[in-house]
Amino acid sequence: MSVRLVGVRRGAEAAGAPAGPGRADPPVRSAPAGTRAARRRRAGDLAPAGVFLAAKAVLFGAFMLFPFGYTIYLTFQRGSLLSGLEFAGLDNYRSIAGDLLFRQTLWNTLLFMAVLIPLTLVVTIGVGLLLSSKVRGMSVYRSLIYLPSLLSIVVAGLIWKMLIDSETGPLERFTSGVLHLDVPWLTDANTAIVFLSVVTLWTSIGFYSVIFMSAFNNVSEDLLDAARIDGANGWQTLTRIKLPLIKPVLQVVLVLVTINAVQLFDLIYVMTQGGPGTATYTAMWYIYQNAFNGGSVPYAATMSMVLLVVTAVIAAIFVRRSRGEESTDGHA
Amino acid sequence: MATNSRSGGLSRRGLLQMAGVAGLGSVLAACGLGEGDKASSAGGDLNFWLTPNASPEAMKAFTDKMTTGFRDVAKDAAVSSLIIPWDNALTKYTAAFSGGNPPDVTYQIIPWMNKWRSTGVLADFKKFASAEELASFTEGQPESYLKAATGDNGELFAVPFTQGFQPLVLNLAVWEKAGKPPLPTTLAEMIPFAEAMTFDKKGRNLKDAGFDKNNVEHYGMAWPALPTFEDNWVWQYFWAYGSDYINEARDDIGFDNAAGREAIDVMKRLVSSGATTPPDLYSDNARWQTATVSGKTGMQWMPPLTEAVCKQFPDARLKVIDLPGGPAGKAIVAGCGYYAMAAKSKNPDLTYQFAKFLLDPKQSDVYIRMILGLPTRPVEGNYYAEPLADPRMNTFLNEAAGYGQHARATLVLPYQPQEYLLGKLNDHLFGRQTLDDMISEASKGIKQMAKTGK
Repeated sequence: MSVRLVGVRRGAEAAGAPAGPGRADPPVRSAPAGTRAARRRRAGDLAPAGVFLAAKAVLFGAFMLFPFGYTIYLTFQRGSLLSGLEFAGLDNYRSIAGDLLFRQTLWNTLLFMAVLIPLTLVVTIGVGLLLSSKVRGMSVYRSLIYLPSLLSIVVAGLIWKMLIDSETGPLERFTSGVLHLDVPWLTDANTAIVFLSVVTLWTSIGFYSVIFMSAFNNVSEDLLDAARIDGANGWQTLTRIKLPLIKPVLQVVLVLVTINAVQLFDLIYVMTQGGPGTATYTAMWYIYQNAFNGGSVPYAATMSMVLLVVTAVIAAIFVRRSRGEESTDGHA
Repeated sequence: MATNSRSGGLSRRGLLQMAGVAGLGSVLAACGLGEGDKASSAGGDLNFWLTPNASPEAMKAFTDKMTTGFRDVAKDAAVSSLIIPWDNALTKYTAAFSGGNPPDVTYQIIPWMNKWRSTGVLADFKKFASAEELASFTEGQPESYLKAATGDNGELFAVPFTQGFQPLVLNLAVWEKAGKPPLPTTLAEMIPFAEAMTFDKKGRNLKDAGFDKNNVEHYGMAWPALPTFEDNWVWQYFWAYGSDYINEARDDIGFDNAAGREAIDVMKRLVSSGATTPPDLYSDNARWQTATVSGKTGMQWMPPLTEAVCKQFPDARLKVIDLPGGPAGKAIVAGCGYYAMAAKSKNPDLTYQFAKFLLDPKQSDVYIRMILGLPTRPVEGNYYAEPLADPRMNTFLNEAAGYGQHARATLVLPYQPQEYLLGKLNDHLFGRQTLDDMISEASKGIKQMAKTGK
């Protein structure tokens, strides 16, 4: 009997029901299962859940399922939302296959990813590690590190643009006046991509660092003690114990950073407008231009779908690779 | 527990069900099932949407004046005005026109007209106007402005009434410091002219030995390499050399020819001379717009002087230079403002009355003067004869009025190539691509846009 009750409780908790200290187990019903009364009672029990689920279903359908379905529908159309759409079959997909500009924007996006992903991982793991250490006033440091994540990307972009202003920007004054370096922040194609990556990192450093901090805090002290007793130094503890143990978290962050990199738009809008020249014309920027700046909405929708597939493939590669390593580790 | 619930008249389950139903109801209501309010008050109401081309106070004063003034024409009409910020104006217009409740009268510009022209969301003025009224709307208007508002079947979807452009403005103090070199009459002559006005902080000219390019006091010319700015003047280089940015068939670039390459060469020589500002000189638009007023640059293609700028720079002395030309003549990129009516207006006749009222020169002049613009038709004498907040504003605007005869609107296209083309041109101008590579890539890009924009 007690086993069954525990089972009931676990099931309820798994479904998201609160499991507070004052919560009692449901009373055991006396009516035999299968009778009409029991069925009615069960239906009655499910009614409130049904109502709440309906609300969720409506919201999910209206704001997720319908837009997604409509985007897929648009990819097979031509024309505009105002003058009417007509079926175009796979024309949009064929056009994308031959669209050199889209290819170039994908390439720019990949370049951005190639800079942003390693930069973010290295920096946020390092900061996460520091945040997980026991230092006086750590809560203040955590708050400070998290602050930039609370700013909107647009505000962050404007702040950094002011910092590099040729005449009044403190960062520009420091690099040119003190370091005697002429840094072409946003006027050189390569520097612009690196600089955008740094600003993107700045806006997300708090979020990812806190994730890593909590992952590091969850690493068993026993394991770390054992490693120390075996003579492992700090670097070995990090690379042989901590990092392998937080691999699932690393994998999640990797996917999140990848998605973040693919979706780069706000900073470009505020800081470069695709420039210098077309160096920061990313896929999202090109899609925006097509959708809202006099292009074709169905074509923009098609590019979005292609970008979704590209992102999904990259994320799948990361996940698969990580799982492969896990199973290899398991066998070893 | 159960007893307590019942004694309160409402069981926990009942309470949850009610809450769920209420929640669902609010979701459905929030999803826009409440159109009743608008429909019931539609009677003699009109919606008037425009963009903020002046201070919020001035815009409000203008809309108040128009709405009260219109009551003299239509007593029972109530006009609601809405100022839509530029940043999201097109998105909001699109949403309103694609929904069932569009604004009756709207302020429009050429890039938007390109979007609406073939969609049927705007009403044809020809269906409402008498022959006399139609003539008053169209006679004397620049052809390119009318063309942008004309549909495939000759419909007139909007009436142009105001234009604006960015004339070439000279800072007299910098010019005098340079020894008053002769003013440029051609675009090519602007290069040595800009060089002559470039000085470092020790007073050495660009051409002097020891010129310190890292400590420049005045640049000869401002050249912000951002599409937002360049869209106002780059195209006139092509036009002055007898070329265009898009070809006549509207399916490829129009500058892959001797004239187009020459125009690009002039721009390239100018930005490579060291006499133009570095593209990252300023981080904010306002400072770019006042680069010449502040004395940081000797000249620039500049928007009209405002009262705020005059207050900020009380000692600045400026002069509008006669428009420099090229082998094919003179041209200036001009923006045009229109009034348009919604095809799905609930009060079409009243809407026309209101549009006609706004387009009456007495009313349209109020708007034009408020935004420091110019009328689309030629002006005799000084349009800004009445003193403005600062006499320099009068001088600037009256001198700039002469540019009107060379005003030319950007092309009528089913796609918007400007921003992309400016990016490609900058790739070449700022040394990231050779001319041939840039032309080849730009051509492919435009062909693609033309294909998908059809």
